[in-house]
This record gives sequence, C-alpha cells and structure tokens, in this order.
Amino acid sequence: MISGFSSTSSTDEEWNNLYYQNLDLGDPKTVQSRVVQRLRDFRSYLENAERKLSRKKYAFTFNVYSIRGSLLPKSSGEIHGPFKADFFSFDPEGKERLPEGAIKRDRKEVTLDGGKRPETVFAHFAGCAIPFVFKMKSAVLSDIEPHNVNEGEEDVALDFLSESDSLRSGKDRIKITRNLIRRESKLIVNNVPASGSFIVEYNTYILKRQQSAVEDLAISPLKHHLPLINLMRQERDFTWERVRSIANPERWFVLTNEELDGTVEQREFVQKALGTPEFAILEGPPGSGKTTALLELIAQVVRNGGRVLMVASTHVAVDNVLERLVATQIEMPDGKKSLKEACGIIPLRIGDEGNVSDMVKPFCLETSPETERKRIIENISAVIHRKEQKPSQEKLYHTLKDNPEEGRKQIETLLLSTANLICGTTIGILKAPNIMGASHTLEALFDYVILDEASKTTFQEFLVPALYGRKWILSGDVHQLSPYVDQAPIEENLRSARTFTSEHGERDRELCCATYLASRYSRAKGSALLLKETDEEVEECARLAHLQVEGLVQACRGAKIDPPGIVVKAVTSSPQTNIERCNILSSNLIITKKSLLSEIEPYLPPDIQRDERTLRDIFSPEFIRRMGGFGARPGETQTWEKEISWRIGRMHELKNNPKKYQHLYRDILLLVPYFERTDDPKRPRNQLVLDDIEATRRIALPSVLELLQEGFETRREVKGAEQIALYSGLPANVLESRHTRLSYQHRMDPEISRLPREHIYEGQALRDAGGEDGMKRKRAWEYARYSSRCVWMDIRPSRNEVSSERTWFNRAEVKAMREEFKRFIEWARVHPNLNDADGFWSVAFLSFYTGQTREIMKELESFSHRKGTYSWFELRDSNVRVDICTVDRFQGHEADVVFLSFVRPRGKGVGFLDNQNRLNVAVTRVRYQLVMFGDRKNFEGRGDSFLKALATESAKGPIVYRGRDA
Amino acid sequence: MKEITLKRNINVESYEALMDVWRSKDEYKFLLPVLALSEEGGITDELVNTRLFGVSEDDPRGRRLLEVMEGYRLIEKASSRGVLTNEHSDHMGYRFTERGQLIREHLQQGQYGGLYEELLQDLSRLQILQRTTRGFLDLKVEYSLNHLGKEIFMSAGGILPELPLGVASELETLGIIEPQQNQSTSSAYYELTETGRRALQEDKVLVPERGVFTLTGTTDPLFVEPVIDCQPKEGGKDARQEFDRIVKSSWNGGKNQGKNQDQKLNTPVWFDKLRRATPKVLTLAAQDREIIQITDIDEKTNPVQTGGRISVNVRCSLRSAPEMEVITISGKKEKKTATETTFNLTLMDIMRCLFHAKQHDLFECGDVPTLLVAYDEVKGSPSEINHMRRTTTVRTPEIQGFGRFEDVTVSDLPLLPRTLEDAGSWVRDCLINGITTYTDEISYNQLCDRESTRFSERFDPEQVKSRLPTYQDMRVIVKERREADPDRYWFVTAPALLTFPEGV
Repeated sequence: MISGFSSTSSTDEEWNNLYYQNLDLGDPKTVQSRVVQRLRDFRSYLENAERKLSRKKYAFTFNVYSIRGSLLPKSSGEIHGPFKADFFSFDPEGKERLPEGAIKRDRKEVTLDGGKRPETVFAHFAGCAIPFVFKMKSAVLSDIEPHNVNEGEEDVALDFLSESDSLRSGKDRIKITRNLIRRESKLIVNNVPASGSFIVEYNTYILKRQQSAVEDLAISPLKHHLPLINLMRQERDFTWERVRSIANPERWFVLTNEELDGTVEQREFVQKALGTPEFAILEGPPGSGKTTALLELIAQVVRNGGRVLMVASTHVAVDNVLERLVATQIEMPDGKKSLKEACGIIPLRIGDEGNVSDMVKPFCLETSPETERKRIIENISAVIHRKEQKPSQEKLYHTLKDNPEEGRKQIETLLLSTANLICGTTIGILKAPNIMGASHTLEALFDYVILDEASKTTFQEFLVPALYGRKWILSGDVHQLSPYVDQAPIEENLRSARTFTSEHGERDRELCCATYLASRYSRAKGSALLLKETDEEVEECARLAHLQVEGLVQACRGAKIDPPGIVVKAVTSSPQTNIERCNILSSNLIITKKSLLSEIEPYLPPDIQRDERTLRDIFSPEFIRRMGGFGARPGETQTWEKEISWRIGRMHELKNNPKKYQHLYRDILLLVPYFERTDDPKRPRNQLVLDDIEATRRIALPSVLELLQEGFETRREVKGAEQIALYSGLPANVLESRHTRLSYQHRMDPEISRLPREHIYEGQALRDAGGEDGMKRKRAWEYARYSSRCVWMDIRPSRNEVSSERTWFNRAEVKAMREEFKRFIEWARVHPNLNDADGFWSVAFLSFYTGQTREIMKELESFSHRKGTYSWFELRDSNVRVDICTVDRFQGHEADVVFLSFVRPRGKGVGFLDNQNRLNVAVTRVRYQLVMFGDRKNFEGRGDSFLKALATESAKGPIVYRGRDA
Repeated sequence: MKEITLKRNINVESYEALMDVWRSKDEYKFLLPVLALSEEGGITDELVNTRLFGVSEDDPRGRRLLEVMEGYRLIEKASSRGVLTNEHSDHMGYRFTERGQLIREHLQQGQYGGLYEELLQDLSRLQILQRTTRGFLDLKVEYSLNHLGKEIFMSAGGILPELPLGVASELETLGIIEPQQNQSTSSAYYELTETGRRALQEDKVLVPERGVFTLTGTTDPLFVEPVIDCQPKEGGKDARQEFDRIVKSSWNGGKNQGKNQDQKLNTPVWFDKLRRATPKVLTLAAQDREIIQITDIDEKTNPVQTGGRISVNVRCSLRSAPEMEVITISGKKEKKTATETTFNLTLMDIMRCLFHAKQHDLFECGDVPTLLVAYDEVKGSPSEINHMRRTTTVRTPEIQGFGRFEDVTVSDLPLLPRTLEDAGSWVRDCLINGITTYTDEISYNQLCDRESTRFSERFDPEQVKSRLPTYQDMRVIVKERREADPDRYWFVTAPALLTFPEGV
C-alpha cells in the first residue's frame, strides 16, 4: 500500500486476519469472531458514551487567587532593571505600595494577590518612579464551583474539571498549566477567563483510549496478548498453563524477615507472580502489606533484567510504591542502600506533576527531560570549554543543544527507553509518546504490568496498560470500593437502549419515568405531571400510559408484589364539573396541555414531583405555597436514565444484601417500558431494554479483580458463559494457583481492626501482625483523651445544624471535630511522631459527603494560617498534617488519626452507608486513633451489621447534645 | 536536444504480512553519540555514564541503555564473538561467595586460627598466604597475607583484582569466589553491529516494530529493489471497520464471514526472495528513499488491492546519469519521489533505441546525438532545412533490457546531411532561402561563404561551396522561378540592371 492509497483486502468476503493467524490457534477465524462478539458490548458502550459526551460541558464560577507576571519597560530607552528598585507601587506617587512579599527579585517576577491586575507598576529608584508594564504569566483560580448543576452532580463536574487540560471562556481557549483541583481546589492557568466563569468540555480522551484498546485486542492481537484473548475463550478450547513453582529467589530484598507475620504469604505471592505464565492476583485488606509484596516483586523482576509497568487508577497508589522504593533501606554487601539503588531500579513517573507527591517529583517525565537536557549540556560544555571533548560528546552536545525542543524529546525517549519501572495511572501512562505509539512492538514493552487497586479498575480501564505487557499482576481488595463510576457514560448508554428511537425515545422515557414516580414504589411518593402541546399528543400519551400501567400491574403480579396504584388522568379541556375536578385531584399521573396548566392548577394534587426551578417556571407562587403547606418538597431533576443509573450502581454496592438488591431490581422492572411502538415485535420491549441495562451494568460497574475472581452475574444468558473467564471468572483451579490472600494487617491498632475483621473479612483476614500485643506495641502512644482507639462520639444536632437540601452536612459534628482536633494538636505540639521523619502526625477528617467536607474545611480555615479553604495543610508548630477528604477519595491513603463524620441524624436514614465496602474503607485508613462522630441512635438499630457494630460496639465518647456536652 | 524523459506506468503488487520492520526514528538520535564511543576506545556502560551523561560510573542507566541498544541490534557484546577487547574484561567476572566473605573478614582481622588448616595450606599454595614456621622443637606455623592475598582480601568494597590464570578457578573450587552474573560492577564491552555501523555512517537509527505491514513490490527492471513501499497497517479506523464487519457478520450467524483463507497463497517471486533474504535492508523507492530493515516475515500473507497508480519518469540528459522519479497518484493527490534506478544508458544509447532503424545514422556531434539524413528526406521541410533540427514522436519505444515506454517526443534533434551531395543541395536551398534582400555579386559571394560553413563539423566548406551555383547561375535560377518567386528574381537581377556599366 502506498502512502495515501485507499486500500482494501483483496476480497471482503475472505477472512484473512494475519494477527490471529500468527497466534497459532486451532481455528483463528472462530476465535476472532468470538472475541469480537464478547468485546462487542464493551466497545459499543464506550463508543456510544464517547460520541455523546463529546458534546457535554459544565460551567464553573471562580475567584482569582493570585496573578504572577513579569515587568517590561514601557519605553525602549529604559535602562533600569525593575528588580533593583527600592519599592514598587501601583501609582506614580508611591502611595499604594506593593507588599514586598509580592516581589520575587531573584525570579524577576511579581505575584499579586486577588483579582488585582494592573497595567502598570511603578518601580521607585531613589525618589524617581519609572513605569513598567505588568505582563501576566499565569494566574491561580480558586473557589471554583460548578455553576447551575445539581448538588448530586457537583462531584461529577469537579471530576470532569480535574481531568481537563484546558477551559473555555467565550471564544478563548485557556490552557490549564497545573490542575490542582483534587489537592487544593485550584487551577493554574495561562490567562484569566473573562466574566468570572468558564466552561469545561467533557474530556473523552479516556473513553477513546479504552475503545482503542478494546479494538486493538480484538482485531490485532500479538502473541503476548494471547492470555488476554483467552479470557474471552471457552475453557474447553484451550488449556490454562500451569504456574511454574519458583524456589526462593537468590535473595529477598524486602521480605527478609520470615518470622514476621505475613511474610510467608507475601513471599508466596512473589513466587507465584514470578512463576505465573500470565496472571497473578494479590488480594489483601488494608494495611496487609500489598505494597511491600509488590516492591519485592519489582525488585526481583528488575534484578533479573525485567521491565515493569506499574499502574493504578489513582495517583496516590502509584506514588505509594515509588516513595517506598526510595525510602526502603536494605543491607547490601557494600553498605545500606535504598531499594532503588540496590536493585538498579530506574523509575519514571508519568503524569501531571501537580498530581504527584514531592518525593516522586524527581522521577517525573513531565519535567525531568528538560532538567536532564540542561544538566548534560552543562556537563559537556565544561569539557568543550577545556577543549577536551571527544567526538561522541560533541555529537551529543549538538543533538541536545541545537534544537532545544528536539533535544528535550531525545532525552524523553532516552528516559523512557532506559527506565525499567514506569509508573502512572492507567490512562496517564499514555501521555508518554513512545508508549502511546508502541502498541505493536517486537516484544511486549514490559515483562510485568502491575495493576494496584485493581478493585477500583474496570476491565476496559485495565486493558489500556495491559496491552503493553506479557504478564499481569492484579492487586487489590474486593471488600473496598468498586471502580469510581462516572454516571455520565452510563446515562448516555441507557438513553441509547434499544427501542428508544430518536423519534419517540425521549417521550417514552419520560412516560416510563413519570409512571414509575406515580407508583407507590418510588422513593419520594408523589404525583407526576406530563405536559404536552396538543390534544392529540395528550390522548396518545394517555393511551400509552394506560398500557404502561397495565404492563406494570402484570409485572408486579409476576414478581408477586402488590400492583402499583397509579391513576392516569388525561386532561384536554378545563374541568367544568366538580367531579372532573375531583378526578384530577385524585389522580397521580396527570397528562395535560401546557396551555391548560393555569386553568387546572387549582385542582392538581399538591405533591407534583418536579425540581425547584421547573416548579417556579411552570406554576404560580400560590401553587408552590400550597405544596409547602401539604409538606411536599421540590426534588431533583428526575430522568429515566438517572433513575436507572443510580439504581444499578447501588445494586452493585449492595450485591451482598439480597433484600435491598431485590428491592432495587424490582424498581428497575417498574421503570422499563411495557408498551410497544412496533406491531408484532420479535421480543417484548421490556426484555430488550432490560438486556441493555444488564449490558451496561456488566461493563460499567465491576472491577477487573472482581471479574477475574468471581465473574459478574447477569440475567442475560450467554452460551457457555460458565466456561468463559470474562463472564464467570477464572476457573477455580486456575485462580487458586495464581491467587494469594494476605491475611495479616500491619496498620491499625487492634481495637480498630477488630470490627472490620469480624464483620467484613469474617475473621479470614485483617489479623493483627504479631498478634494483638504486637500491633498494640507498634501503635503505642501517650494520648489519653479516649478510652479506646475506636471511639464513637454521639452527636445529637439541633434541627438547624443539619441540612440535606443540596448535600448533606451536619455542623454539630463539624464543631465537635474541631474541638477534638484542638485537643489533639495541643498534645501533638509536645509529642512529635517519632515514626515520621519530620515528626508529623497525619490527621484525616473524613466524611461520606462533599458538603460536610466543605463545612470542615471552612471550620478549620483558621488553623491553616493561609487565606482560603484547603483540603490539605500542615501545622508545623503542632507537628500535624491535615487532610480533609471524602471517604471515597481517601481509599489508598492512610493517617495516624481519623476523625470520621457520619452526618445523618436520627430519622434521616443511612443513605449509601449501607455499603459495607465504603464503611470498610472509612474505618481502615487509620493507624492510631479512630474517632467517629454521629448520631448513634440513627445507626445502632440498622440491619446492616457492620454499621450497627460500629455504632454499638465502639467505645463511647462523650455525648454532644446540641453543641454542648451532655 | 538536451534531454529525454521516458515515462511509463508501473505494475505493482501489494501484500500484507505480519513482520518486523525497523524504521528510522529521529527521536532515537541520542543513540548515535553512544555508537560513536566505539571510535573512542569501546562502548561500556561506564563510558556512557561518565563521558556522555555525566553521572557516576555505576549508575544503572548506562547498563540499561546498552541492553536496550543490544535489543535494537545496534551493538553486541564483544565477548559474544570470543573477543575481549579490554584488558580488564576478564577479571571483573567474579565476586565473593558468602563463604568467601566470611573468610575475607577472618583474614582482614588476622584471625587465621578460625580457619581450617587445609584451607590455609591451599591459600599458601596459591601464593595468597605466606606460610612461616617458627621454633624448632615446638614448631609454630604462622600465616600472613602476601601481596596477592592483600589485593584479593583487603580490597575496598570487596572488588576483586585481576586474578592470575588458574587462581580464579582454584578459588572458585574452594567456594570462595563465584562467577558474577549481570552485575552492575562488571563493565561489559560492546562492539558495533553492522546495523550500528550503518546507523553511525548514515546518522539514522532504525528501531523495530512488529505488526502487519503492506509491502508493495514490482518486477519492473528500472528499480534497484523490487520492494518500493512499506506501510504499517494502522489500527484506528481500519480496526474499527473490521470490528464492525465482524460484529455484523456474527449477527448474521456468520453467513457473510466468508471462508477461512488457510490455503497458501502464491506470492510473487520478489516477495519470496525477500522473505528468504531477511534480515534485509531496503531503500524504498516510492517512499522518499526511506531506509528500512525487515528481519522477519510471517508465513501468512494477504494480497492487497491498491486504489492508486504508480508511474515513473526516467530523465536522461547529456551531462548527468539518468534520474528516475516515482509518481504515486491517489485520487487527486500526486506524490513525486526521486529515486535510484538501474537504468544506466546514455542519451546516445537511448537515441539508438528510439531510432532503431536509423541507428547507424546517429552519431555524436559535439556530445550531442545527431541524425544523418539525405537531402531528399528534408527537402520538403523548410523548417528542417533552415534549422537543421527535427521534432518527432516515437510510438511506444522499447529500450533493450528495460521494456516499453509511453510515446516519446524527441525535440530539436540535430540533423546533418549524410553525403557531400546532400550537403550541397541542402546549402543551395538555404542559399536561395537566404536571399531576402537586393543581392549583388559581392554580397552573393559573401552569402555563399557563410552558408557553405553550415555543415563545417562534417564537410569542408570549400567543397560544399564548390557545389553552389555562381552568381550568374543564380540569376538563371531565379529567372526560371520568376513566376513563382518574383521577389527573389528582383532581389538578384535588379542590382545588375541598376548598375551603370564601367566607362558609361
């Protein structure tokens, strides 16, 4: 094929995939067909989401925190350099001076706080003021808030922003030079957006990469991809290779003490990983030494000349490994060395430097090429200056110096070629150019791909790095949080479920949602109102609504549950009689014309379910007052896909709670359409939609760890599914020889580990390393404020201290947390942490709700001694580092002290705290002291055993009643 | 007539196969300075670290980089060819065993009593220990490290010095030292491979990729290499389309999926030859003379239909070797690439092929191919008579050994008369045509002088002149042609009529 030619294979009918033919399979054509079929759902899910989300955007408001710039002479004849001035001012008279702290004389920069953006700055030299033009270099935006989104969507919008590298303001595109949204809720940009707001478009890059990975695997697999292909094959068609038993390596680098609890298991894992022909799984609860075991594996692989790609879905998990690599000291014949040096590990961290910990920054690909380039040039320059250069040095000097950008690229390639440990997030690693373009190399780029936090990574996310390796190590814990699920792609896919055509789809979904809301199964009981334009539309909609209700009744009978009491009323004219008016009032699914609304408004039931804005738009203030009087409240915008989407997410979280799971599934049965749009359909419409919902669940929700270990249950029957690892997990014997569970924990005080060990791990894991005494000794300290290391502070808030309007928050708990924190820092000031190099204690303020974390940040603002609210700060004098975070985001982190806020008071339910995995994550972050804050009464009577145990079996702290100790 | 351009369309065939293709990547140019170390005493990780990258000599990056370059077949270990280029190479291959470390500690502390007598005797035998006896009746044996012993056991960091032949193997047998494998302290020496040498010479580094590539080849004798183009079959759109096609055919129960193409395809000779010749370095004629290396071609191949057209222009000129240009036309896009060709004929050779029937009438006249013609051949063409050049089109000419080309127009081919008679007649015509104003006998003779030199490179002008009519003859000639050419009649006769005779 000549460049630019359009080319086709000789005949489209002939199967001729050379990649499959090269795999030495018995029947490559059939294998490809099966692989494509089994990846089809993944691909169409991603394609669909990408296509639709590329049009999605969010708006944000912000404040300007600071502006950094340089000073340029106003006149070309100006000879004074501004940074030698005595002082600077905004006015020529020198009345409005710039603070000295704003002038960075060494860097020749000026940093101005707030939104001040002067055109001219005056430099004063011995009484003479010389004007200089202020030229902005960058700006820090703070207080960034999503604009015009529901509270439930705020986090999604912020995630959306945290993945972005540019934003739009009018027609201008502004580059985000550093994205600090996750760490400091700030952005550093190269220009300030006009009009105080900006727009961010959905970054579909991740979806595109995942789609490409699925396609590459299905269409052009290389030999080292065969085990990944085998995940999609029936077991009877091939044989899983045996794991070679590996004797003890020549030496252990990290796992040196066999006497230590857990070492035997960790070594067993390393041996399995070294001997596996393809997969090995490391499962371990929090603090069980997964990272230590992975470090040993990395050391062994690199020591034997191998190359490792280490990925995780979060930056912190990636950095954990790198930090330990540098910090772990091991004994070598020529003295103590870091593990990195001892094993000749050359690490390279790929990813935005803003997301990387300070210790890891020297290994960042983002900045190190330029630093290296300059260092090498400087080095050789000295030789050239002495006229002692060799031709090789001269060659290298010119390669790097003549064209700086090319030189930087050369060094980047050098670093990527020589590194034997490349680390990054699953998607972030693709930022490295010769990884992105290297899906087809002679050999796998890496001998091992290690995926940490595999319980948080979906199969399609895993595939992106997996294609670069020949062996895959998955490490994680299925008892912790599942993959973070972005609702947007799920909703987009649900909207595209079969039978929802472009002509009727939206109307049909609206009708299904309204019918469901009117049923007594909806969470917030109320009536539904559907507004149409014409009489014909009203009548047609009413006809379909009747069919839908009929279908629901039958479905309920089939499921042996009481049928919903839905009363449909179509109103095409103003009611003339009292009976007609009564009929409207007593209906709960009312369909009418927009033009009639004002006339029938007095007779409408006062519990119409709408969001606040729509209610204001379509109803009179009187009606809204009437609603208030009736006790009805505006809800969130409800759409069919949202209703389904959160339910399937919750079903996944509650898969171990059959009662709640069934309840949610029954809701979904009531949301699917039961009326047909075509005559004589081959399959009932509700079945088709249910199938598509199932497909979406199977792709969007389970982690790769879950898939390989257990498979993913689905009601849709796939022929031979029990033989296919992608559907049913690896066969038991295959899994057993590749799986290691770490059963000891090295993190928590025994009083903290007891409850999760009993309730989550059923005594099988999270055993205290060294026994109870061992961990007690390890976590010994002198802080005597609490009677136990696991304490529940019973907080009973007053009514106005709790809000659930947009998001949950509980000020009573925040105040109690502040008090406890104050006591702790007083103690910490004189008791530095001897296990920390800087003497710091890490304190994490966790909550399950973003609203509550924001309240905590505000409450702790005075402690940080910095302007604005921070999610992370240090109190040097008190030897304390503070993290304020949601539980979900804190997975993978740990802290010495955790203050955990449960927020919801009695009578307000437990919300998503019924997810045991989430609670497990919340409780198991802590090393020394866990202090829980919550209204005990609300949780002690729950059926969820772990939640109940936390509320009832933890030691009781003082009760705080309406802000006072009782 | 300075040059001729021969054109024709090329028959090409394209086949795709899974193969290893090495292509030049600019971003790998940093490897060239490393290769250049071969001219400065040898390539070692130590030199890479210290000379080029300015880091410590035992930094792991140097070793790792050389391993990568070995993978790219740019360098190979010197010892792998049985050649040790460095005097220090062989002593770095050992390290202390655990037992050796213990013995070392004992010896360093002078604790000879802690070691077996047998071992001490062995070490004495190897000249590592000095054995001295004291006393007579109460015989005392004392040991001390001699020079070699100190070098071995007192060295800093336990790095072994160069060991005499035999000592190393004895110490290994005693379990004191062991061969060192892949140790960062051992500085392996590397040499350039052929690929490495070529990279250094051409300033290009070839890096391998595996995947399906489409090779386009031709049997056209104009090309130096039959393979003229090599393109990766990209994923992306292609993969997406194939995915869709398979999904679609699966939904149809696989009915349209077609038959499995298991039967072996008859690939052309050029393809088979290439497969056998791998590893092979190729210069791609249709791809800007890109140099690639193919190291392995999988057995399975697919023919590929290309939607474009390739043609060549071979330009042959007087003063330079033939140049060939490959033109790739795809839709409205046209790409031209200059390339090497096997075409080695001179302009004269080509002319002989083009005018095969008249090849004996062609000769080089002042380096220019010139055609000899009879007067009868040109007398009807005033342009050829006057300008002595011919423009002609040769239909589908065949050049011996290179096949047929499209019609060629030869412009301004120089013409010369074959015989003196032809020259006389030709010049006579030119003479008549040259009378364009009143001409008396003196100016007529001057005209004759001038015209008779027209073919001076072939005939003596005097001989030609002798065949020209005198002024009087010319007066007769123009008189005879007075009806047809009255102007010329008056140009010749009027000067005589208007001149007064002498003495009048």
